[in-house]
Amino acid sequence: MKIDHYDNDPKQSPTAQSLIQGEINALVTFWPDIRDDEAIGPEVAFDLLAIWAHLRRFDASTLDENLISRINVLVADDLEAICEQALRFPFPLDWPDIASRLDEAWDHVAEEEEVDELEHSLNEHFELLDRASLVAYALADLKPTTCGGRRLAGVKDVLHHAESYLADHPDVFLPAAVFASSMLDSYRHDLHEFDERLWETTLRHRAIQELVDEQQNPIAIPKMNRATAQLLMDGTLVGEATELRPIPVLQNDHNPLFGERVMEAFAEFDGEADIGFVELPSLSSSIYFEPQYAMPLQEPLNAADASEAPLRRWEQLRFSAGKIEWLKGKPVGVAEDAIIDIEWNSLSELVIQTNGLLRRGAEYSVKVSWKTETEHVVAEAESSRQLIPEPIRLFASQCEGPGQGDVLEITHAKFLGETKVWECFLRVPFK
Amino acid sequence: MIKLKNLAIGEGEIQHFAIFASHEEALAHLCDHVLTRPEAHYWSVLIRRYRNIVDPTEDLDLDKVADAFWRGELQDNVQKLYDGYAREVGLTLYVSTDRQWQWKEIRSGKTKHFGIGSSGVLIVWTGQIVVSAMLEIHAAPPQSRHVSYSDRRNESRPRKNTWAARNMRKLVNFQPADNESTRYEIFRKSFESVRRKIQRAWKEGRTNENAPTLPDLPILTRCEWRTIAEVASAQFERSESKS
Repeated sequence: MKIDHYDNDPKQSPTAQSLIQGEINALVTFWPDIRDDEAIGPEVAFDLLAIWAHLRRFDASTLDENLISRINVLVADDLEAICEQALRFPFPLDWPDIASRLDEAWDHVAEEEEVDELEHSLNEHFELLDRASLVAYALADLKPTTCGGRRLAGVKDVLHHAESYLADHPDVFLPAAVFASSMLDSYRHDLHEFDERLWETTLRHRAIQELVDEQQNPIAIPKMNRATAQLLMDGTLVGEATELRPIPVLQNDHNPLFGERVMEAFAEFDGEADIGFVELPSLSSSIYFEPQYAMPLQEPLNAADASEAPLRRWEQLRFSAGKIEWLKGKPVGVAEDAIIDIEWNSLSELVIQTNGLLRRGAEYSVKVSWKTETEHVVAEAESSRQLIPEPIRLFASQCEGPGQGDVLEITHAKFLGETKVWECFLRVPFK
Repeated sequence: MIKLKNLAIGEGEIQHFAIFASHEEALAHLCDHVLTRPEAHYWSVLIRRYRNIVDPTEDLDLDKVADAFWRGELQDNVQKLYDGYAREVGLTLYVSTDRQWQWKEIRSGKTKHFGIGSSGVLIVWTGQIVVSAMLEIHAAPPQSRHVSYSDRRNESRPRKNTWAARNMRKLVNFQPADNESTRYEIFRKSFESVRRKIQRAWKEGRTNENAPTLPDLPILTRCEWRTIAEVASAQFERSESKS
């Protein structure tokens, strides 16, 4: 029988770290030879800065200290020359056009060999953009005198053009999905807090990853007419459910974002719940809504109790923070920060569940903070990093919740992209 | 017609390889890789006397030569180019066998073998026939339509416009210097790209066996590369002269 697939043991997998670190010695030892070479210098400098920045995406404890030290010393010692040469690297201004042409080629490649080449070309095109964004990050971080604001802005302009294309056409880079995903999984999990700008350079990896997940778990676009939506907003329609289901939300120019699945979720409710409506940003002037389920906080439950727990109306829930207002018919914007006024006790547990568009199996962080009259506490419970769509449980052990009347802020701005909105549901079972 | 080359590789258990299965296949690969920019720029450094035959920076010149090849003209030149190309393929087979820089992939039940050598050339073979050889990271991507061998008489280099982008990686008239630094840089970039390629294949379950060790292998420094390249080249030449 012919084999058509190997079930490789993930434990034997070559690591992303070794892949990146494996370039260091070659680059560091080659640089002095071609430092002033106009033909080769730019490419080597470009790679040097890209690798230097790429290493920062990993947890330092997983890297080889000696290698890191070698590249750090070189970059520090010869910063100006490296940056000057890297800026000469001719990143293609029409990167999107090239990507588009590669995509068109799929319709015509006939030979297996050409398929392989095309896949490789798309992967390398993705890699080129990734490296370029890492170089831009490095230039901004290292601040060489040769790279003034205007030059850096020029680099960023070119990259922005390319990034926009990728954000709009992640499907073009599906052949890069496995590699991008494996790299992403290797990066430090707190990257967005460790270095937000560096974290932003990984958004393209996430965009492809999310697309793969959507394709593997197709989500129907729900539909609901505005009259029904209004009834929901008025609170006339209240359903019951034993389980809160993530509601798929996709932006659409012509249809409200409600549908049968919303009602199905309602039909299964075992108690009462308020539904919030969040206006999503639209490409047109139409107004769109997204249902939000709001339920109260309660004492932590064990698994058996949680499965039977009814849901209760959460009267005090309010989304605000500038861009979002809590329901009751008010037009609202995109949830960047959500503020909830609640009564809280120290054993309260908050479960945040995404709407299902986030990548299954990936880790996302949610920062929760609260303010009291005297202090502003920012907490990120260790257990806040759990697999989506498993609920992220916060405050289970480390933190006491805020007191009555304090403001709880749930920040999930990191879920927001330029063209997509990742909303969170607040799901809190109670007795 | 190109006189196709056969190679005997290995000691003890010798394997024989044909470098392309047919004249047309060899010519198509010459045109798609050796005579299409930006890859042509780098092949002109690897293949001796390349620039005596054609200027790799001039599309008109490349077109003229490739067109003539498909018309059956300039037979001496096409044979010289093929021989230079075949030498690099042979050297790559030799080095990749010697250093275990080889792996195999399966697609739809079919097995393909890959190898990379000290010059950065990536070769692909099935059974005992080399079916492709390229400097993959510099290769122009496939064209957006199928071009048969008979079409090639009117369109000898169908990939010539697939890379032509403003401010592309290598500028239009870029010509790398014919020196050791360039040859090492060709190797470094190719090896870097191949490590990703293998890792991807491994993650996708298209390859196994020793493939996982290759992405873990650090890219050779220039000094290490020079030693390996010189020794391999000398040994390959000796084995060639014997055969």
